[in-house]
Formats: sequence, C-alpha cells, structure tokens
Amino acid sequence: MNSSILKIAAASLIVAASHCHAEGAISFSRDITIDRSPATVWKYVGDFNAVDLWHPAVRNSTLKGNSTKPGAIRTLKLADGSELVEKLLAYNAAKGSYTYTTLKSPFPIKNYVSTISVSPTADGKTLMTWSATFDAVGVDEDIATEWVGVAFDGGLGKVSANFEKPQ
Amino acid sequence: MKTLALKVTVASLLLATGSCFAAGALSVSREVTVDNSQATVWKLVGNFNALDVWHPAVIKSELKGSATKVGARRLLTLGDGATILESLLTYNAAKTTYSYSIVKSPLPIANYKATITLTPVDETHTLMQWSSTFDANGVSDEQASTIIGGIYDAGMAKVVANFKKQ
Repeated sequence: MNSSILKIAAASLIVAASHCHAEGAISFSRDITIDRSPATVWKYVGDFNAVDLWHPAVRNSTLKGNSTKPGAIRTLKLADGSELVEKLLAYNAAKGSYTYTTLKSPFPIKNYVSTISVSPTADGKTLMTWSATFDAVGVDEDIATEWVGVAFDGGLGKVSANFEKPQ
Repeated sequence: MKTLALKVTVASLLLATGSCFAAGALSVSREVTVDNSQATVWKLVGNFNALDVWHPAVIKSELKGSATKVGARRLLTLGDGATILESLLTYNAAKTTYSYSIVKSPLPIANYKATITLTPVDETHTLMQWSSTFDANGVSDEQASTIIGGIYDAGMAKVVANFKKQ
C-alpha cells in the first residue's frame, strides 16, 4: 500500500512538473456557433496580435515577437485606457487554436491561462470556444468569473455579428 | 511640326509599354474615416486574402501565392455563389496600400485595376480610400460606376462599423 501511494505521489509530481504555469482553481468556458467556415473565422480571430479587430473592449494591440511563436507578447490597450499584457504559450494554425497567459492585468484575477479555438461543425459552420482557468484575487470567485464571462461574451458576440448574413 | 508630332507619338508609345494594364476610361473613388489607428485598421483591410472578413458580400476568399507578394491570386466567393478572381499588382505594408486587378468576374466591367490605401488622420483616426479605373462592358458607363461604387460603399461601411466606439 505504501508503495502504491508513493507511485501516485510520484505520478502527481510528474504531472505537476509538466505544467509551465500554476493552474487556476476556477475553470470557465463559453462557445458560440458562427455562420461561416473555420478558415474565414480564423482570419479574424487567429492573429494573436489582432484582438483589436474583434474585441469591442480592445482599442489597440501591439506585439513583441512573432505572433505565431510561443513567447510572443501582446500589449492590449483597452477602451478605458487600462492595459493588459499577455504572452502566447501555444499556437496551432492547422488546428485553429492558440493559448496564452496574462502577465499584467487590471482585473482581479491571477494564474490566468486561456485558449481560443475554432472548429468545424457538422453543417459547415464554426464552433468558436474561449476557455480559461484562473484564480480570484481579492474578490469572490463569482465576481472574478463574472469579469471573465463579460469579457468572453463581448468578444464572441462581435465575432458572431461580423459574420451574420446581411439582411 | 512633324518632328514634334513624332516625339509625341514616341512618348505615347513609351507610356503605353510602361504600364502593364490598359487603363480604363472610368474611375471611381470612395473614402471614409475609420475610428482607429492606421496600424489596427491595416490588420483588417491589409490582408489581401481577408476580404471575406470585412466585405459583407464576400463569403469566402481563397489564396494562391503569398498574400503580400505581387502575383498572388484570391478567389472570392460571393453570397449568391458567384466567384471573382483577382490578382495582386502591388503591395506595400509600410505605406499601407495594395493594388489589384480582376482576372475573371461576372461584373459588367473590363480593365479593372483598384487600389486600397490607408492614411493616418491622427493617432486614432484613419482615412481609408478605395479607388479604381475600368471600362464598362455591356452596360452604360453610369451603371458600371454605380455597381463598383456600391461595392466600395458596402465594404467601407462594414470597416467603419467594425471600429465604431461603443
């Protein structure tokens, strides 16, 4: 039994060591179906340095590094003048997905790691998913989650609206 | 006088060989002010293969070649299923401008050559210009110009809306 516990403990350590970032206790995800192909939607949302195109709260995004290479850093200037600094952790154009972490943020969260992905639906549309894990800082978890939810909804709503067929 | 006439003729010939495309007799130009920086607006309109993101009539854009290299071709699929094939003639990211021609389209025009250019107004406003020269083909000059102008108006209105402050 001792041996078995030791093995589990060792396995846990290996799993923990394989993560580059502390994983937040809160997990949150939103998705939306967009009436367009993933290839086209990816042109809008797949550029790590172009969230200033598709998120209504982001006025400008400036990049250090290569926007398709892990380690790239984007500085987002928000409409209210505040700034977010985020780092690209993984980028896969073929799969339509990228993952990033927040280095500096005005929001009451930390250990934020987030993934944006687009994938095809059975009827040729696109499922866009935005998910994150994070911890609350100085606020209730519900409040922190609310912040993230509002941010996700704002971006996903604009992307969806952009590809609505004109009336 | 004969010498002068000859010189003018030679000059005309030189001009003609200097341009790769016959210049159309008609010209249409539109411009709008967009409520964001030149760098940000260029991310949207500066990609030769992303008209399917910012023009409401274009459902799909597929590229052959590099989107920043002369000779690249984009195949646009419209909402009604029609397709337009266009070729990149010049691309200058530093000057935020590119020009292209239509290779094949159902539009009643010929010799179409167009340019899209962004110019900063100030740090947070950008002038977007879309202009072209072409000839009418099977319709009146006025009808052809109305069709092209309508295409520009629709695209530019969407770009303006994309960056409109909430």
